[in-house]
Amino acid sequence: MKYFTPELYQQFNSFDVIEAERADEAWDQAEVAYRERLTSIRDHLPSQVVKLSELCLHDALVVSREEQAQPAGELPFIDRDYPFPFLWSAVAIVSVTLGEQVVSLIYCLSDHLTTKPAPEGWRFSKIQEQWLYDEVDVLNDRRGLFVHRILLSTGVTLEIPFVSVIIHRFTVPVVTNLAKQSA
Amino acid sequence: MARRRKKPQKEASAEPQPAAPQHIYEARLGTNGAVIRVLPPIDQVQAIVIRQRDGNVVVCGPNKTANSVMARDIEQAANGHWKRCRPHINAGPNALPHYQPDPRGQTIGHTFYETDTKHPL
Repeated sequence: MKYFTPELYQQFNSFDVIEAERADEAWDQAEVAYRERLTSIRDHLPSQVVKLSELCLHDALVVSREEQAQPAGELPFIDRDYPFPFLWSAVAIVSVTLGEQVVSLIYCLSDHLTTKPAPEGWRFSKIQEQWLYDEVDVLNDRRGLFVHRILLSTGVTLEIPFVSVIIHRFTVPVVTNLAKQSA
Repeated sequence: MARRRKKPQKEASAEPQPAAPQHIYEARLGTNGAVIRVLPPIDQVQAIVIRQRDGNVVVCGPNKTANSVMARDIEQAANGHWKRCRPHINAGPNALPHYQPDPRGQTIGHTFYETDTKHPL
């Protein structure tokens, strides 16, 4: 995380009121800086990445996150003597629930997803993994490469480098007693 | 004749400041993250009971820090472990910072507090 860092979140939650209020002010500045960054890169973002940057998944329960890489086959237009004649494709899927709604973020990766552990002294529960804050950015200022950084309630940070993303939403119907009886 | 000691003058800033008036309300959620107060105001004990039933409450007053501390105390008394959250940047213009149980579990309630720039309706 560049703006909403786990350390800043920890300070914002400090039992020391002065430290907590200082972090509150720092968070204000981080929000301004992040908004300015988003504005400056917005013209370089495809519509799906803009949608990703406008999502609010705060408090959503992370039910699944995984990465899968597989060979996409030999590249016919590259000489076999070339050291890397094979193309690999990798996908990461992060699924969260918000009430009855499931939101899956399906990323076509440009590199491996990285996971950073919680900073030392992370005092929050690790029983459930919930979405806290996230940032969307362009990767190394290169057009067509993006990164999604996600801070989870366990203090873990995900950094997902990607070229495209699909946001898939669906609702899981509530199983009523009547439906249970008829089954 | 003994000299009378001059009493040290109290500085103005050392005067006890009157406590900023604070009010607690039960709250319901509106659109764009809005927090809507339910009149009349309630006391701290009632707020704790509402939070224990997973409802929403909001602490209002001119001093943001005092509001935050009061909200923290309510959440602490109601649920024990808490975490303090700023509204997500995309949560909507009317969203308020709040305290909530940690871990969240199946609960949905919050203890919101008013700030200099974010106010309940």
